[in-house]
Amino acid sequence: MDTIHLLIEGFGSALTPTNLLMAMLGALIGSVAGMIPGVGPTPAIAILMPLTTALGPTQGIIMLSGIYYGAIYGGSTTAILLNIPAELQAVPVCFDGYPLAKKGRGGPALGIAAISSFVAGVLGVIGLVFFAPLLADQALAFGPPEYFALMVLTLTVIVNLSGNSVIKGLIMGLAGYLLSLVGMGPASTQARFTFGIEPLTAGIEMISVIIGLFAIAEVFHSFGEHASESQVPKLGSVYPRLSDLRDTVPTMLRSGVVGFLLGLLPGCSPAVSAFLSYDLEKRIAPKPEEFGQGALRGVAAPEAAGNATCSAGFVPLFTLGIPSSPPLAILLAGLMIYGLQPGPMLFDGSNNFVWVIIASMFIGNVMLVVLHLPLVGIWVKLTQIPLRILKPLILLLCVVGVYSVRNSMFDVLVSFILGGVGYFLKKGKWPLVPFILCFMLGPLTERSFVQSMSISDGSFSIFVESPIALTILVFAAGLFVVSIALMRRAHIRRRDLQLAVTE
Amino acid sequence: MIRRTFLGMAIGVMVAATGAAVSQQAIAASPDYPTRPIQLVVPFTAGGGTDLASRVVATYLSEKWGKAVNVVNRPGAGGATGTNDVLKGNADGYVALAHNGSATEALIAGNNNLPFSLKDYRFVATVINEPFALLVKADSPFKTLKDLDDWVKANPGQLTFGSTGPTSIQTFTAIQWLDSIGADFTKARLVPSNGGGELLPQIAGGHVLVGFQDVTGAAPLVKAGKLKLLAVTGPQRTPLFPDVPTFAEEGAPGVTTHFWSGISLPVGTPDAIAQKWETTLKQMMDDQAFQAKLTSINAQAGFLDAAAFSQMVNHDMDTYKQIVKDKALIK
Repeated sequence: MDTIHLLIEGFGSALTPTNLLMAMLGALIGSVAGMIPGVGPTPAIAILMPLTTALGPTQGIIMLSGIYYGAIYGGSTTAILLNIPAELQAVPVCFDGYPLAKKGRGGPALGIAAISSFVAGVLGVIGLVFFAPLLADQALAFGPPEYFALMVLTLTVIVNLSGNSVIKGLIMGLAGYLLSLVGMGPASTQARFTFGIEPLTAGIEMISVIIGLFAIAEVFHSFGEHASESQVPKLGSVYPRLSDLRDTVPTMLRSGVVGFLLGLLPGCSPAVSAFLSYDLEKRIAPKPEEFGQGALRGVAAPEAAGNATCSAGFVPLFTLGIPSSPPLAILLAGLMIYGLQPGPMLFDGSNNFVWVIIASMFIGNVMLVVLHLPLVGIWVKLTQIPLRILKPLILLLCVVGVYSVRNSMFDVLVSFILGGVGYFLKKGKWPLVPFILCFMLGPLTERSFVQSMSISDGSFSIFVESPIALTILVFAAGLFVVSIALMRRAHIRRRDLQLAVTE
Repeated sequence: MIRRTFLGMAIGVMVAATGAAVSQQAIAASPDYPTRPIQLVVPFTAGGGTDLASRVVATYLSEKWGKAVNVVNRPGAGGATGTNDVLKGNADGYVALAHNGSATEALIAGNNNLPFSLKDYRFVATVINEPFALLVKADSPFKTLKDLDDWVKANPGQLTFGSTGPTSIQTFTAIQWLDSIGADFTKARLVPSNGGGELLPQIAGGHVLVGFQDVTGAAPLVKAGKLKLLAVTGPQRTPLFPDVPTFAEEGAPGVTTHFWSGISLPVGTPDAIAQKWETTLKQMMDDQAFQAKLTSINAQAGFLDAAAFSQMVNHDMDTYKQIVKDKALIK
């Protein structure tokens, strides 16, 4: 009860016209930054931090949280309308978002994405308010063997996202993993697989791979087509139908909870929960074949899960002072400059400021929805730009985005090479998702394995002795076997059907 | 080019908002420098300790000089990528390096084939200088460093410590400590990690036994009651945790590693410009508001002027090179 009282007081301090304006500005700036491939929340927050310190604590925090949530959400807009994920967690949003846009249902897809993001954000805030200290302790139980098991579980998603051929999926996954090995390995002073190319010692940047394989390859692909073919038709109303909502709200809640729980682990990226939730929803859906063809649930799941993971990052941030991502680290510094000291006592009521922050986070989320529903009109205009102008513009944004991550022209070169590779892979119907998934998971999988081996002095029993790790690994093995079995059955049924038809 | 336009726009907004105060404060010690925005390159990803400190410094300098000082993250290869870019770039004072010991003397001591050496730096000043702390989880049975020392000596091969690599400052600290108490470093098991963000929760959760972290980085988890400090390196206790003894007080002398963060320019930068940096940074360190900001992010101010900075780095370098050689850490 006391908590609610404090929260209401927080809202009292946060809800002023100036503050609302700041929330709106923040959400707008964040969304635009999030839409530009590779930019996202980190530079947006870093660049605007000095400005917000000039504003004073409450307004500054409100604006920063608006930027943070806006940037996280912004990525889904380009994913849905242009099939271009601005960041890794937007990759699964493309799977169904873009088909929906092609069918003329881009509006509802954007609407559902905004609502999912709102639901996830609110779930995150609720989790933070009521369970933070409790949950943070649980997250510490996750050590190297547990992370390794979680990575193995995520890898089983490949089976379900490989399209027609699991073999092709596994080959692509292996290729992605091999690419992730380039550069410095854990616990070594020697760079690997650089072939004497100096810039490769720093490894290949994730954003270069995503932008190359998805955005640039997509642009190359559309150069080969008739211009009108891939253009998105009318968007339709952004307000989803009631039936759409009924269909997707359970998905949002499920994915939101999954995303939130995974987000408590400082090492778990929002992309992991976005992929896992998409996979989960596809498995439990009554008509899984709709996934990938334009299912609204396929948009809601990764969006809600990814954003809930980002929101959950505030739990270890506030209770332990552990930032799980660079933007949160910068945000933490900002909060500390305003006088906030992270720790479990943050929530005991002695510090009113934390409730103002939490109220600001809530307001930031509301602003995002309020802002985005009318903004869709502008996105409509965007998609009506002729492709011969839009595509070079996208390429330009890709170059800016890739370059800005490490300020390196080499990364831009890499992304264009991968764009060319991605174009041919797409033509040959090789699935790109396992590639990006393994590239993403590779470093953490390897590091947590090496760490586990070092802790156990080389004994594999460490993965069995930890109850959490063992449970996850058994679950992953079960999932893998079931997926393969189901796939074989579907395959046999299809063949029988074809035989019956030909006879 | 493109990045400059993008940043320029954002900075334009920022400077405009900070308002007239900025232009008035722009006093002219050497009148024509700076005449355009300055890049402060951080050779790490955004969000780390050195990055955060650099942002506080950049904000101060922007206001002081009336020209934007932009933090640019250029991470890779343990800091070598960004460092090399600055040191081999234009020595005109418009690209400066914000760095720390990990990416300077420890990096150079642990690598034989880097394209730069200490001769390529024009050291300007340090901003932060603080000890490393030996950390264990809060409810660990070890109450003092001596408890831990006895256990390590009685249980060879059982000690796990987190470190970013075989020639990182954390590893050097572990070596100095274990040598000092007469334990065998080669029996200790290094758990590789990619930095404090990953390592500290692993110690707090009891997965890794000990870690060495700058006091700033460790402070939040210590204050949250998840970690405890058994000892700090160097000659003095830290004002942040005055109850924690030094290694030397606990009978383990010779643990000299420390964490510093500072600013350097490429060698060949005109003297007037380098001196303007040094003077301004000195003024900054005396500024109350700046001090308060550092304190609020738990950082410990530690100013060394150019000469002292250079001497400190060279001294540390000799120490680390000796460790690398003695323990044959690299081939």
